[in-house]
Amino acid sequence: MKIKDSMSRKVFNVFNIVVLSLVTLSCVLPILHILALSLSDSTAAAAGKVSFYPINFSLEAYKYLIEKKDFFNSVGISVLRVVIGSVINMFLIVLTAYPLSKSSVNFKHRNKYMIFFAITMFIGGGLIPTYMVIKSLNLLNSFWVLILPGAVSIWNVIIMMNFFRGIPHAMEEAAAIDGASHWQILFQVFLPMSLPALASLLLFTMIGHWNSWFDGMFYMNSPEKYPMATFLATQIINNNKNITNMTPEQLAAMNALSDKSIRSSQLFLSIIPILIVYPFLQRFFIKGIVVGSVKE
Amino acid sequence: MKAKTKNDLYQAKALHIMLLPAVILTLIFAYLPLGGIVMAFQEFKPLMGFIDSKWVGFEQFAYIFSMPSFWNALRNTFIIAFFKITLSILVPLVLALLLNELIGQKFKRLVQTTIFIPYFFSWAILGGMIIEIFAYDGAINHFINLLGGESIPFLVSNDWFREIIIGTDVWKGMGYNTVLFLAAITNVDPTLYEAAMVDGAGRWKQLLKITIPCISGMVILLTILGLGGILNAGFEQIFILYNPIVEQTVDIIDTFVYRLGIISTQYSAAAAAGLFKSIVSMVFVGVSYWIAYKTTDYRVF
Amino acid sequence: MRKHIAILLIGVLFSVGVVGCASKDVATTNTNQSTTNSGKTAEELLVEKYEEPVKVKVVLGYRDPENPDTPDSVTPETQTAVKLLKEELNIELEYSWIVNSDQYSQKFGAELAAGNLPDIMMLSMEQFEDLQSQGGLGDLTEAYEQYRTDDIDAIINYDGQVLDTCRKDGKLYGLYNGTYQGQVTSQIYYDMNKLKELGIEEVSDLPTTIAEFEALCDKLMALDLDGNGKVGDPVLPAAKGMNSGLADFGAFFQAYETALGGWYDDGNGNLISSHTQENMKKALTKLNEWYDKGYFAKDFAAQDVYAANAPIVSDIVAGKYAIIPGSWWIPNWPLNDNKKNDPDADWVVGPTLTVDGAAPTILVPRISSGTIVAVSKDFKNPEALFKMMNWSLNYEAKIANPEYKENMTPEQKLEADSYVYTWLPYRVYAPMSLIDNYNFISEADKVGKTEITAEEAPANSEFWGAWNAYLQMKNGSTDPVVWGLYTSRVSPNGGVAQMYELYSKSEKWINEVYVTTPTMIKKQGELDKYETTTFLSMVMGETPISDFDKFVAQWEQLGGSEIQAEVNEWYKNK
Repeated sequence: MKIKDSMSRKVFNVFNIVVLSLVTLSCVLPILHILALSLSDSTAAAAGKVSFYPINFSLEAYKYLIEKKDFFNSVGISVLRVVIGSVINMFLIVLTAYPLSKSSVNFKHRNKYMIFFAITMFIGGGLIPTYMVIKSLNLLNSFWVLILPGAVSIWNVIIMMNFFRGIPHAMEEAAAIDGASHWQILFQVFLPMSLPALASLLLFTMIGHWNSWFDGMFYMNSPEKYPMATFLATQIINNNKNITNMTPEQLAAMNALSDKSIRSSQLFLSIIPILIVYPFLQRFFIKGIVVGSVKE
Repeated sequence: MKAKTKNDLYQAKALHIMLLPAVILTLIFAYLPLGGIVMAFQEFKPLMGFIDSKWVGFEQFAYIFSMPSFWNALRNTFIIAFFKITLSILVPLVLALLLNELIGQKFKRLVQTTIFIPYFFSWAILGGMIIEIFAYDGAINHFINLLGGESIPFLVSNDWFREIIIGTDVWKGMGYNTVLFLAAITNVDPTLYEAAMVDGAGRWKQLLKITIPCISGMVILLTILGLGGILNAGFEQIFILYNPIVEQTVDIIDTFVYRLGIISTQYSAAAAAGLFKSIVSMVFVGVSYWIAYKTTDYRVF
Repeated sequence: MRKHIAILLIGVLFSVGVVGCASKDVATTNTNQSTTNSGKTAEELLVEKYEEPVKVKVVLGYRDPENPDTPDSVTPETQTAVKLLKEELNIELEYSWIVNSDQYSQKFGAELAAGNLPDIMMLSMEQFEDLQSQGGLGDLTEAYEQYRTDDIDAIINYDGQVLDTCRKDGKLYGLYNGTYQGQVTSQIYYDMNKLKELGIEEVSDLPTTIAEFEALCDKLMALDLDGNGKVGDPVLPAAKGMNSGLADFGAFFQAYETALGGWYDDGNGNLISSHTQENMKKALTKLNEWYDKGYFAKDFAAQDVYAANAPIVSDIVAGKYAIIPGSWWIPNWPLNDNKKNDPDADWVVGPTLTVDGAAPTILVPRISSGTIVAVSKDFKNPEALFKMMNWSLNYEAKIANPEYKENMTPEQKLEADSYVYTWLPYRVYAPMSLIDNYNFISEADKVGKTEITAEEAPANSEFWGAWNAYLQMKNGSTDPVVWGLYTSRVSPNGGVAQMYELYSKSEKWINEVYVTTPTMIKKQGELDKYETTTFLSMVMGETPISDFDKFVAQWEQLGGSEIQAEVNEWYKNK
């Protein structure tokens, strides 16, 4: 910028930086607050003295979590879910998106399949019938109930499909003339060219699995099988609701037990993986989102 | 090309095989449960089964339409979804424009990266944080007290809770659309700006005459598509955060159906309410896609 | 933390409430039961061990052990009770699912939709009606006749009629576990220490009529009780739950001879609903006047006493109020927390409020609220339910006994103190235990008795907690927890004593209806919601009281008339 900034421009620049800083802070401060709470002595936390740095630094909450085991047990389930779930999801996304990316001229039944999948985006049977189906498949209380019902994500398939469509036809034709099968074209030509899209879908899929909680709560038969997010969600719900069902004495007992430091330490631990993974993949996924969301 | 018919058939077979796993899973987990819709036309008694339960026609629909809390939930759904949809476009749009005006690239990247973080947090996590922060003895009230104000019971207040639901949802999602808009802004042909500068147009004029018109298509598109989801006001968020006291202002169709069907075990009435929602939703989505197609030639499939 | 645990334990002890025949030998308990074909008495049958293991499929909603020191290895499936049931009766409990209490109804609803019922389950009245009408519940008639004992009857049929609520066409489909009817009555607590300033020295100086009460409130308005430097702050705690048992309107409705829910006989054999009568209108008119005067917080309707960290409760604890309406238990929470802050606080139950000095007729239920234990129709051994209940009675009474406790290993003690034995799919709670214990301790007090043997003690384990509180208060304890127990359970000016007095001396209207009619299943929730919002809005003056007739008409139209017709039909054919 060679042109000299006018006075109003300078004022605007300052204003702009202030506003954006505030918005940025709104995303950072809650995390800092939670971290500070988790590292504070529980009485200081309960008294509301903690803001963005620990008061009476204490690792008690984390020690408690390590001793209590149930939280880390649920983290273990979540890790397994992320690994297995993401592999299966990505595999199905790629496999399903490829045929659908063909035009109906090249793949006669393409539109029928598309309609078959698209319908499920608009209408569902609801929770109860789904529960009945899962029950009759004997999937209830099984790890696979966290993976299989959501294994085909039509939205992600569509994003991938649109990305595939953006790959120049010439590439595909050249491979076909060389005698390559669809499998070879998909894995040797398309996939290497789709890394940004794959990376962003992978990120979203992994985080989706890490964050899902409703299925765990609904389909599992005991809290020991809950993934981490369900573990946390039920804790919030339990503190927040249904309190009316408790006797006053139980309520008093529960209020005395609710420990801000422990709750905060769980919250903080559960976001660490996201904070770690995100910066590495962010380069890719910004490209991926833009390509997937809006087609030219 | 014509010489390869045989090969084509073989090739099509491969495509069918590729689709097979997804087709099977979809049949089982999406199509099979659709059979449960018949419940909406029955007085479904689970221990008697679908066959022996009484058929009641549209009685369940009449029943839910007679419930004041159904209409309350429907109204809340529209209000909450409307504000969520519009604000989650407006706020990121403003942020993207502000970011675009930034000179320092490092700061720009920092902001962009940071505001995306909440997008990745589960409501299970954010719910806990929000309750912690908005609690009567939480951080926000602490701040209000410092400024000399009285604590506000945000979480049990029908005056505040809906705003908190909308605000936190917009806040959580703002990073995503900001990145999207920023990318669109960066894609604007730079020669347009150069030409404008030659003509002596200031930053403000450039913004009004070039940037906004260039991305307006995208903004309109996102709005239209968003409005298709007007009946989805965010089940997970509200389910985690709400409590009986604020039901009046934040109960939505989805939470209503959940309580009616699963907690009160009025399966048929819940199925009817769910089906009603699906059908109305489909109409909204259909219309919004149609408008999107007509105005911007956008196609999803 | 230690302190917290102590509070927890005592709190839980009393919320759990168990009953047993203390250390009385079961076999020697005198009963009038018939013997069976095999020639065995019910007592013998109850403790008889099955030859072949009997598997019982159950489900459970539970909370984490209240004692945080409970080892992780103690789970619902590994607790001593489960092991002993296997050892002593050869009954194997199999948990189909175990969730936190808060996910219970969700899981139960989903499982029921899929057609699954556990072998033994606890149900609400509505669920009972629903499942029974679908043919899902098993017939308990025969098992009950063979296995009934006085101890079991004292729980499931304590008044000789409650069991009939679970009979359909002469067959027994469930066991009712209710509560003492008097628990629906309301009281008003006064902090005599704060009221001294207004010249009130004795309980007899406290108001007995609404007019006197209002005069007292006016005087309080002119005081600055919380010391925030201004007068005119609210003087009566109130919250959205008009009948919630703490900071509610129950005592005022009671004075006006009305109540929120209930159907009573108008004297001509017709049932009428209490809250659509003129008396309710009068009560609301008065409450609205009080609201306008500033007795209640302006935003009281947004308050929920049961919400975590409820501001209204903090205010009570902080001592902002000298008058608190509530139920018999509030000394045990939250008044004890107030006592902790302010050891000078001197809470007593005041006289029952009346409109004109004449004692009000109170509305009480024919059958008090409670839960029903039932078995699935597919369960092959319905008698196992009675065996398990009987076993629990003995076990819970045994481990509550201080003498027995002394001989426990530390692990056993830890487990007993965690109340994990409540993790069983049925409940055994003696409805009359509060009254029995109060009467027993008052008698002991009269004769100056301070030593009680397990044989003399009332046959419920709640007794020991109340007894200990009594002894400690006698020895000048200042522990607020002890004070809370004592004031709610034992003190002659306390909760149970005054509740008992009011209930036994009052004229009563009986809320006859304990059935659930089809329209109730569908519309009661909506009706209640409509009623609550309208009444709250009338108190706050947002809806004029003159709209009361409109409310009644609308209420009838929303389903009230249908319900009225149904309950009258049922009442006449009863």
